[in-house]
Formats: sequence, structure tokens, C-alpha cells
Amino acid sequence: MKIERQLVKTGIGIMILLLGSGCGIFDADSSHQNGSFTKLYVTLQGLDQVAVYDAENLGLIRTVDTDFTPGESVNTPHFVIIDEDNGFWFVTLIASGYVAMYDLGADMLVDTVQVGDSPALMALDPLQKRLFCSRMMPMGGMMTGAVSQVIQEIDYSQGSLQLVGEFSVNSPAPHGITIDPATGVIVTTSNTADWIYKIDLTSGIVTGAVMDGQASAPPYVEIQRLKSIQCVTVAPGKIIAACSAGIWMDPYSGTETQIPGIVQLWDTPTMTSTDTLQFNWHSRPWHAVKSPASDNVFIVLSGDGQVGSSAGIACVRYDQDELHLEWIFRSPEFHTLHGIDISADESRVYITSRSNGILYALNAQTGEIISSVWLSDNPDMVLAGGVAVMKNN
Amino acid sequence: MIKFNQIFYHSQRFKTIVLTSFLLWTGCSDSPANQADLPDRFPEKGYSVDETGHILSTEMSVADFEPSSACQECHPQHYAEWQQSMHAYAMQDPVFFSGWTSEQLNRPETGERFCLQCHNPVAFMTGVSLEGFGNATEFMSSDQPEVVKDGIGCDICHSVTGLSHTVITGNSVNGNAEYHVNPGEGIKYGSLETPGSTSAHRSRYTPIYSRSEICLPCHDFVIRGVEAEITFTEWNRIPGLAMSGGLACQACHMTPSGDGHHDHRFIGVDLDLTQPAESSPVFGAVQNLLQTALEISVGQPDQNFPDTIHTGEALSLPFTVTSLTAHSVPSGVSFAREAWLELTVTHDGELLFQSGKIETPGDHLDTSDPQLLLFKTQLLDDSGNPISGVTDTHGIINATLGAFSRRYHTYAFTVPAGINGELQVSARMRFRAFYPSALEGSHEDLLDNLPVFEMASLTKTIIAQ
Repeated sequence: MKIERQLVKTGIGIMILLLGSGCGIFDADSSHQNGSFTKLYVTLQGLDQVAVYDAENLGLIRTVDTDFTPGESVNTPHFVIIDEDNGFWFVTLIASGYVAMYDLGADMLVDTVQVGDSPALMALDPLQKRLFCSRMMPMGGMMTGAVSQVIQEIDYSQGSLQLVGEFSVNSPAPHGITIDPATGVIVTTSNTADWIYKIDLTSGIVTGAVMDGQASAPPYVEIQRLKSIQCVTVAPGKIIAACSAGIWMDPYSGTETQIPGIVQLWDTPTMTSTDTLQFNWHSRPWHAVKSPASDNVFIVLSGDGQVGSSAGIACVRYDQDELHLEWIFRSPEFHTLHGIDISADESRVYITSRSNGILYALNAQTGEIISSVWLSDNPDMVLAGGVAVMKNN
Repeated sequence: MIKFNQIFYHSQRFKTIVLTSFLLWTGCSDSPANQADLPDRFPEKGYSVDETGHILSTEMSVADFEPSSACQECHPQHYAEWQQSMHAYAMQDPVFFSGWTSEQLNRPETGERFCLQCHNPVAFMTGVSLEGFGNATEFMSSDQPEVVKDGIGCDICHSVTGLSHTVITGNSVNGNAEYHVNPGEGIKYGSLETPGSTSAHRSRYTPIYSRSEICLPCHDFVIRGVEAEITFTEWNRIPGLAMSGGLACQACHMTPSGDGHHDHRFIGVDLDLTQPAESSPVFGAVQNLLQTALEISVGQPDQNFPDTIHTGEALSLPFTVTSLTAHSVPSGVSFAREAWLELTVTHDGELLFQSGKIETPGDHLDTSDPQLLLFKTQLLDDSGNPISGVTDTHGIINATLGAFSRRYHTYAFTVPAGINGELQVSARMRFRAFYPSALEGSHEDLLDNLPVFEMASLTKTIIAQ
């Protein structure tokens, strides 16, 4: 019923927005310049589009086409990240292997670069104007990039995308990625091998460590037990890693085990894990974001399709080298939650629901739903992916 | 009462508001209409069922669905392929009929509807009763409409306008499959972005035909909380696939041909067992698919495969089985299927060791062999005892090879003293769609036609000194 009410509200919101927009009361492009909109970007993987919303009322501003291979299979825009300092946003396209750069004001395409090997998540350094791109999980040797172990470095200082470097780690599928500007490192986590890597951007030295104290294996072995999804820098030399885990089969005994999802705290100078929060096996911690206004980290819990109300959001506080679970909010409305971002003032968290194609705005103090919007008239087609919201407007 | 069109209704209200806004907006704007870039939501016809799975109300009749033969003239290749598919076989399979009959006897209120929800969606959604048919011959020679005899025909899939969910049932074992379809309006929905025009019907593109979820509700089934047949869920639990829609079912089971059309044989692992397997038109395709499903190799991360062995000593043979499949192996009715590693070690033609060896396709595996590597599931009753009937299940032991996972298995035996020279090690992964007990008794004739496929194989030589 909440969805119904919200649909009507959102419809009315869109009506107002469209009327205003159509009559020139507020134009999308100029409104960014005059600060009217806090724009929010959502990848619509199934539609080969990125949708641009007004973060305040979840009114659709525009959709941006990301079909760089017309007539062929989908491009699958997956992850989106914003560089407000330099006025760009970037998106990875898993299926076609591109990274694309858009102008933040007009949302016009600036440049693309072919990086191949199923690009997944990104971390950026706005000072150096560098972008670091991780990899999607292997898909059994049946898709391009199935064995990639490479983090790519892309320069955009000249207003275009230039692939300038690569860092190879010893594990496949380095998926989670974050940059720690204070220590000058990139940290990445392998989704399939359960290893974590620190890449020193100055020396290029790569240092790895086993993430799973229960079942360590060589870095090249895809043990697939913790299944790390995302890592986030919470303080200089401190990162957290969200690991989805779930049902796991012991490769030696064949025994099926339910592995709890976890969030680990890592000290990157020593590459040691200093604290761990444990969830149940069907929570499946997925993407995470740190609040720009506090030491809170918000982690979207993807949930398991067979366990009702297993999807939700968790608020975790980093304090004194420890992680503290502040709250968890779950809802039967959520279906396979995916992307997450937070407003500058930590009032709202935005999440995407992959299975039913909905964008939610949540109360960042409680997790409760403030508003939601279908990401398309045909939400079945959407396959909602990453979400990013402007912080400085 | 279960109603499947509530969300649709809410969305329609939403759509009405947005469209009204759009019309007003375009009236005073000269810029492109972003809202118009979004596709229109496709309509659907609703139905509701009671707690036994019987229709309470429906907006559909059998006449809304066209028989598959109506597609033949313009789509001869698609039609020919569908005829070879297990979808076309859904209401001709003697194993289905015996199971369906048993279910109707055991659960008179729900049994007929429960099985039909997937084997005959037209009958399920329109409320056509098919009680009383004991075998395929009776049914196919009856005066039932052709589209009902089709089982899972063209018009079911190409009327789908929205995605569905897992079939979940409890102790009542009732049919409650949720379809979102719009038949009878002269529109065929599909995956072609720019379909050609025809006077036969209108054509609408929808990206959902490229999604794994289009195979729901049927290819995912949970009963009493037991994940009994969960092919979709197995795929959906792979992080990279679930979140990106990658490597959808169609990638392997509806592969595009050279001319771009998708294979409508829906190749899997089943065959029509009323005829010799080798004479089946899809036998080769099934074989080929199975040979891409996994690979076997020697050695493990912490154990190398030996090149030499001292005679009279214990020999340890480490193997790795690697899944290349986006769901478990076996999947679907995995409790009826068997995939196993056969190993033989010989010296000058003399057998030194074997595991998983059968002489004929209908032979039982020696499951008492502690070294046997067998992938399957085992259904359990409420006391934890093994059973074979899926609708009676209260538990399950999952001993499959997980999607894209590995299994390390080591054989050990002692090489007899006095053996010198080359030992021939031969390993092969084998598969059959039914374990023999599933067909023995009521379907002995089918057992004779049951093929055992080879999924992968390798040979190695070890020097005994």
C-alpha cells in the first residue's frame, strides 16, 4: 500500500515537475547551475540508460542513453560515481566493457574508453583526476573478463578518458574498490578468492591478505566463501569490507553451509582485520557508503530471494578502531537491494531495489522509507544498479 | 484469495497521472520529452485462484490463446524447434502423467491444479479442468482444445508482459503460479527490438525476454520451505549474475543461431524417453550442452597428482571438478538426476581400482562405495528418511556441484605389490536425467531408452616402480 500511495504522490510530483519544466519554470540544465536540483543518478541496467532524478522529490529530470553498441546486446550500465569538483560523472558498462564520462551540468557524453573485462565499480581521486576501475565477478569462463585480475587507472585531467595504468593482483575478480587519499593507496577485495589487496599508488607495490580466518586458501583459489562486494574508506588507513557470503559448499566435503554475511574493519598499513560485524546468512551485505557528515557507514543488505524481509539496510558506526551496529531496517517491500548513496547532510539514504525496479529514499537515522519511485513504467525491465547523489549541489 | 494484478492496478493509476502530466507538458514545451523515452507499461489480464489452486475469477478464456500450429506458417523453424522441446512434451510425458495421477490421488483437492500450473498454464489460468486423464494417449486423443494439448505452447511465453516469482507452497501443495500475460489481443511480445511487421499480429519488444526471470514462475519451486527445484535461485545467488542480469538462462538454453534466431528447443538435459535416445533429434544438442557444463582436472591446490608410485604403497589420486554452469549440477529435479565421476585404474588391462562404474545405462550406482563422487539431491520425509516424491518432501540434502564452484575429490587405494610399469588412470564425469529407481516398475520401457552422457573425461599415466 505504501508503494501505491507513493506512486500517486510521485505521479503528482512528476506532474508538477513536468508542467514546470515544460513551461520553462525550471529547466533541468540551468537549474543545476543555479543550484535548484540535487541530482541523483541511477543505472538502469536492463534499459541501457542512466536516470537522473531530483534527489529531493525523486522527480525524474531525464534519462541518459548509454547504448554504445547499437544493434547488439545490452551494455549494462552498472556503477555510477560523481566528481563534483571537476564537474563529471562516470559509469561502467559491464557487457560492452566501456567506462563513460559525462558532463555533470548537462549530462552530455564527454568521452568513453574501452577497458574490456567487465568493468564493475570505481573509485576516484578528484585532485589527480584519476579513476580506478574494478572487475565484475567471473562467470565460469563464459563471459569476457572471467579471469581478470586487473585494476585499471584512467586519467581524465585533459577532459577525456585515457587508460594510463594497470595494477594486477594475485586473485581473480577484484570487485570491491576504494581509495584512501591520506595513505595514497587503493584497496580492492576479490569477490571469489576472499583476499584483500592494498595497492600503493606511488610505488605500485601490491600487498595482499586473506580475508577469511575460517578457510584461508591461496590467492588464486576461488573459494567463494565470503564473497566480498564493496569496500569503503572510513578513516586514514582504515577501510571496511562488506561481504555477502550466503550458502556455501565446502569444496572438499561437498557439505552445504550457511555463511553469515560480515562487515570487516581493516587496518591497511598492517593489512590486518581489527573488527568484524556478523549478520545472518540471508542478509547479504552488498554495497556500502560512508556518511560525509559522520563516522557512520550505511550498508545495503541485498537479502535472499527465498527469505522474506531479508533485504534491508544497516547503519554501522566506526569508532576507536571498532565497528558498532547502530540499527538495521528491513522491509518486505525490498527485493534484492543493490546500490546505495547518502545525502551530504546524512538526512537521507538512497537505495535501489533490483528485482522490482524501485528507487527508495530512506531516513538515514532509522532506515524507514521516506519515499520511493518506480524507475520505469515497466519496472520489470529496469535491473536497477548503482546510485550516486550529488553532495555539494 | 490470491490476486495477481494489484500492483499492476496501482501502476496504472501512476501511469494515468504521468501521462496526463505528459500531455499537459508537451502542450507548452518545445524540448524533448524525457518521460516519453520510457517504455509504456504493457497491459495484462488478471486471474485469481482459491487456496486449492482453482480459479475464482479470470479475465482469460482458452480462446484467447492460439495453438502453436497457428505460428507454423510464418515461423516454421521456431515451430519445428518447439515441437522437439520439452515444453511441447509437457503434456505427453508418461513420467509426468504417472506423477500427476499420483498427486491427484494423494491430494484430490489440489493435485490436478498443482501440476498443471506449470505443465499447462492455459488450463491453469482459464480454469479448464483436466481431471480424469490417466495417460498421454488418452489426453492427446481427447476433444480438449489444441492449445491445451500443446502444454507449454508459443502463446504462453509470447503473451508474457511482466515478470513473475518463485512458486512457493506449503503443506496444502496448492497451485499458485503467478503469470503476467496479455493474450487474445493480437499482440505477440518478444525479444526483437525491431520486429518485422505482419498482418498476423502486432509485435511488441520487451527486454524482459532477455531476463532469467522470464523462466519464472516454473523453474523455481519451494515447498514447505524446502528448496526443491530452484534453478533460478541457484543462478540468482551468484553475485555477479544476480545484480547485472548476466549470463541469463537464454544464453545457454536459447542460444542464437547464425541467422540470429534463438533456439526454441530449449535444450536442457531431458529427452523424450519413449524413443531410443540416439534417435531423438535433440540428443546431440543435449550431449553438447552437457559437455560445456563442467570440466575435470587432476590435482588440487594442496595436492599434486602423482607421476610415480612405489609398488605396494598407498596411491592417492586428487581430482578437481570445476563447474562452468550458472546453476547447480544437476539442477531442476536434481533429486531424480545423477552426475558422477567414474574412475578406473588399470595395469596391462588388469583392473586395479574402480569407482562409479556401471555396465549398462539402467544399472544402479554402488552408493555404498565410500569413494563414489555423486552429485544429486536427496528428498527427505518429516522423519528425515529418504523419499522420492517431491510433493511429500519436508527436507532435502543438497549434494550437487554448486554453480561455478569446485569440488576436490581424492581417491585412495594400495597398489598391489609386484606391479611395475604404467598404470592407466581414466576418469570421466557421467550424467543421467533419471536414477534407475525413478523409472523402475512403472516405466521399465523408458529405462531401456535412458542415455548416460559423458560430460568430461581425461586419462593419465602413472609409473609404478
